[in-house]
Amino acid sequence: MTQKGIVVAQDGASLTSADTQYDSRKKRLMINLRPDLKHVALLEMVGGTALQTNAGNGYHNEEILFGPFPHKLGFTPRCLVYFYVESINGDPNAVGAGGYGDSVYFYSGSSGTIEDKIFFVVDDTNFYIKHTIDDFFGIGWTSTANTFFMGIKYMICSNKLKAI
Amino acid sequence: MAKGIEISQTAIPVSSAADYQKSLDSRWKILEILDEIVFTFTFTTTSWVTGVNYVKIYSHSKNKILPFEVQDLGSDYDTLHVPNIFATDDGIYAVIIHAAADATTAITLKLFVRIYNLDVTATYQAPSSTPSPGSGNEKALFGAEIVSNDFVGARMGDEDMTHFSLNTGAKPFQIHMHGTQNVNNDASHRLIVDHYLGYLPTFLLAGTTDQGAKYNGGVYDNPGAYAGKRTMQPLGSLAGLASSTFTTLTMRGAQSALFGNIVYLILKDPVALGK
Repeated sequence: MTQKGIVVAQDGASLTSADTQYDSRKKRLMINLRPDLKHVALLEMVGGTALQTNAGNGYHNEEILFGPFPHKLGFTPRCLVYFYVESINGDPNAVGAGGYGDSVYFYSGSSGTIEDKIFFVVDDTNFYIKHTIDDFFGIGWTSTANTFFMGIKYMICSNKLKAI
Repeated sequence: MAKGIEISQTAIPVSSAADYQKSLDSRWKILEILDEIVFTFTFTTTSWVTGVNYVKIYSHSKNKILPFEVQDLGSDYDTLHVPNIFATDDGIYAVIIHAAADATTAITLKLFVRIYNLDVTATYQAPSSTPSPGSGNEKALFGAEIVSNDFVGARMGDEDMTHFSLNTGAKPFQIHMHGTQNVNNDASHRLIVDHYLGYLPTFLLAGTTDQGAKYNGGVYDNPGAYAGKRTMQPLGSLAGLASSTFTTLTMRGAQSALFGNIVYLILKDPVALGK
């Protein structure tokens, strides 16, 4: 490793310690703040439509809520995305409002028979927000996503998701 | 600050920058990458043993459990032999259960693993910071850049942030808190962390086991001398339902209850601000 850069020792430790407080020579996750790229932003939108599943068989239904959004990185990036419930049926004080999730938010799914969720997808070109509903045993279900108003904080890192 | 280095993002005065508007504050830890590897390994048709099969993906000598992420690069394995990947205090392992009746099909693991240099299971909280009142915008032409050593040809002024280890036109992930909490101590199996950030924070979670990595509800030993020690799953592998006040983050399970020891990493980044 080159000796050029900024190194800050941890409190009470010397710069020769293996673990430093800050070392500019080491890699870290970073987000480009160029305003034209919008690699960090807060989206606000209705959580989806009232997607339905059919009774009788396992069933999958999906829709794209945002995207394709070109991130212009040229590789599939590591992303951090948080889904925040701003209101339900227009009520910011409703049970469930104010809740949020890392990478995915489940509108329904605690029974293990339904998985109704909002999440993100990214590839080497584009970033998407999607809403899907899976009805594993075909009980027939209507999504409640349209009652949710979501804030979506996304951060697209200038780091590859996979491969060096 | 008494001693250290403080650098705010471009166009934001240091004196009024919020914690999430800093490119560097040497009082705080930054989520630092220790290593990134591509790991390939083949279990041949004759190498299976009945019971636990494991292979070490990554070794280190830090004597602590390091957080990591895994992405599959096109592994070739059957549905009977899905690997469970976890960290111990000397590295990262893939474990696969092979039952006596299972077919001894050859499988190949091909994984990308990013390892972070952070003792995330230990308790830590960053020193607090109170910005002074804002003094208006400054010209966006000023800032600091440190070119990364990893990119031949990288120069000051490049627009690709992968060329820099520090750039005031970019933000790193600064760490507010981390630690381990046993959620069984709460009647509703919630993770409850007092963060006192003043905003709703972003976070990453990972599950742990204290007796060994779990598989289909069962428990098998950790590799070698690590039987009975804590292991940790990939960072971000737990999807929960969070809520937070300005001071306290509460997390419960989504689709299944949280159980046992949970590792949390709270970042200096608000969930409800697009900055």
